[in-house]
Amino acid sequence: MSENQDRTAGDMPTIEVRGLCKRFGHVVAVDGLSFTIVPGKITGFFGPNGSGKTTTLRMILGLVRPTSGITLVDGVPYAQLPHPKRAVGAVLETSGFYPSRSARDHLRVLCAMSGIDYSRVDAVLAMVGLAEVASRRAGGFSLGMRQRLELASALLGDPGALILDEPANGLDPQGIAWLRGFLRWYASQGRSVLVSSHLLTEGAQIVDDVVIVANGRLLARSTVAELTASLPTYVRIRTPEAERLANLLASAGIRVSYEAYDVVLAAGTNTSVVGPIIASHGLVVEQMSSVGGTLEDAFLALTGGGAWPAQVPGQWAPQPAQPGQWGPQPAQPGQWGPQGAQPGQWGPQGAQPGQWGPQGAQPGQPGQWGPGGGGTRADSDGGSQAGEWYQPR
Amino acid sequence: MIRLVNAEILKLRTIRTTWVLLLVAVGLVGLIAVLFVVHSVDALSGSGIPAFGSHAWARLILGLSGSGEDFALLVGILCVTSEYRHGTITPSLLAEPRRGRLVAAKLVVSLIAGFVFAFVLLVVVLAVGIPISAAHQVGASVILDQLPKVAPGVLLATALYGLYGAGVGALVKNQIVAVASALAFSLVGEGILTLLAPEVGRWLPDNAAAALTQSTPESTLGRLHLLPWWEGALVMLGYGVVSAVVGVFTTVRGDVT
Repeated sequence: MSENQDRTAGDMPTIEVRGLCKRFGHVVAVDGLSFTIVPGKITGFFGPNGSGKTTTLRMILGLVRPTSGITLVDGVPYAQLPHPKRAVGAVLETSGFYPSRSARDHLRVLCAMSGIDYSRVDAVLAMVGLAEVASRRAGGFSLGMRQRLELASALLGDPGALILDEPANGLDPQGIAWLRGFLRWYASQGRSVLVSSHLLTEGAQIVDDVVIVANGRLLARSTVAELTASLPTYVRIRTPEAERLANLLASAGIRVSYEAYDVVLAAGTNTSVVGPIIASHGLVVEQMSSVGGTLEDAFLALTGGGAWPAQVPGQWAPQPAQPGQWGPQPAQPGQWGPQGAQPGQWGPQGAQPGQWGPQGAQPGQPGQWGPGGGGTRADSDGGSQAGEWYQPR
Repeated sequence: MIRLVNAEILKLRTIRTTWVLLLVAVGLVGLIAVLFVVHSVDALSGSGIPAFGSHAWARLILGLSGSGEDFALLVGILCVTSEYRHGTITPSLLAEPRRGRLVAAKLVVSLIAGFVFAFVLLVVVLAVGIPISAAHQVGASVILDQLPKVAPGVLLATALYGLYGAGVGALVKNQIVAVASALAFSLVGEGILTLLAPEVGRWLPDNAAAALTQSTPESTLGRLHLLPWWEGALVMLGYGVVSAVVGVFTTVRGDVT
């Protein structure tokens, strides 16, 4: 089969996006995006909600017409593929099922459209664990079952590439674990997997490469290893003697900042260095943890999520040693950072732990989050993630 | 293309709406046929109903199967719009990204569906008309003799109505809007237009289809000169194909999000 030859063709990109732009009215959803996806790897397509991921995937699949730029699958636009279902399988969020049609018939219809033998239907249903409910009406399926059925339809053509848009939505933890294993196995066969997500926690463990976007623009395209290697680690210490600790650490040559009036951050070091300093001076420490260096940190740093608070609200803190001078360098300084975030605005009023977003700047509207303002490094750091960290007493 | 047509047939077969529509059409036409035949037995001359057992009477019974036209219209509309309504347009376009071909297959299948509806309804009126007539000493041959004169027109008209429906669906992909406006136009709008301007009215779908079936009793629409049957067929085909082509280049072409 020609598909198999394609798969072994080496580094020829399976999916290619060149100068892709899409405008919906006045909204620029995708803004000059270019990247390629190569076989044998799982590529994570990360970005905040509304950053253009879904639109990009839909343009690759010929569902949305680009304003400019092109997308290629195996070297040709999707609509010109001789056997689209054998080239790419897609799991998209908005795909529907006719309520009164059974899962098996849903897949049979797609087989009939694509010239795929019906015998594949029961094979893929078994693969995704839906064999027992194959005759049931898809309208009665739970979200997780729909997601599995969607994956089954993507696998019908035994495609050389899989595109999955937020596939973990609706899956239970077992389902997510299963999906991870499945995608790993799929990529190990020399096929391409492109999986989008706004959450790093589920994606970080399995991806080899990352494409990070925000506001429709490319922020980073590299391997996970490259991305995280550039990140410094730091130590977070909660202590009632914050000022004393900060001075001690600073005098030991460690760059120090404050996350809150009783939380000190020591940059570029680790607990085995900070611990002895604390012990030798008999400081009281309530909590100490080592943070940093994960894909999630890189992601937050790139997208202005602010894993690196560098600015300190003056009313709470003594003089920081070197406020705002450390932290990872942004890939494209000035292009990112939540708009409107100002140091000193953050604090308890915006605290919504666990969410992304410039809660401090615009409490309760995390959906407006996103780079694209002209925020400076210090601005975005100080404002955006403070709510997650600061614990009012 | 044959592959796509087969797939579209499978789509229609595997949803409940198709069967519900067919069932309702069978029930409705069956009921009307029973009422008509029973009523015509005692009908007085001059009531407008042809004499029981006459050729005109037999044609009228068979012509009742033409009531399936509006059901064919619905099936055609649903064939296109249900994909948008239920979001199956996404997997469908992933399997066949060439949208014009997808719509073309739907036109063909709606044509076939209309034909099948008409065929089933012809069987229904025969199944109702023959036994009741036989009970009143009118042989089956009276009705069957008229079948070759009526059936081709009904089959073709209903089939073209299905295609017309698919064209409407491609033009107006919102299912509720498409169904409501097509039915309102077919059941009310065309009648009013025909009354106001018969010369325009004869080119409208309903009267173009009537040109095929010759079912409109001349007593009710005496002023209207129907088109020749072949012109009626071309007009119906034109409505379906033109609206589908316009639809492909406007609504169907749009982003599927």
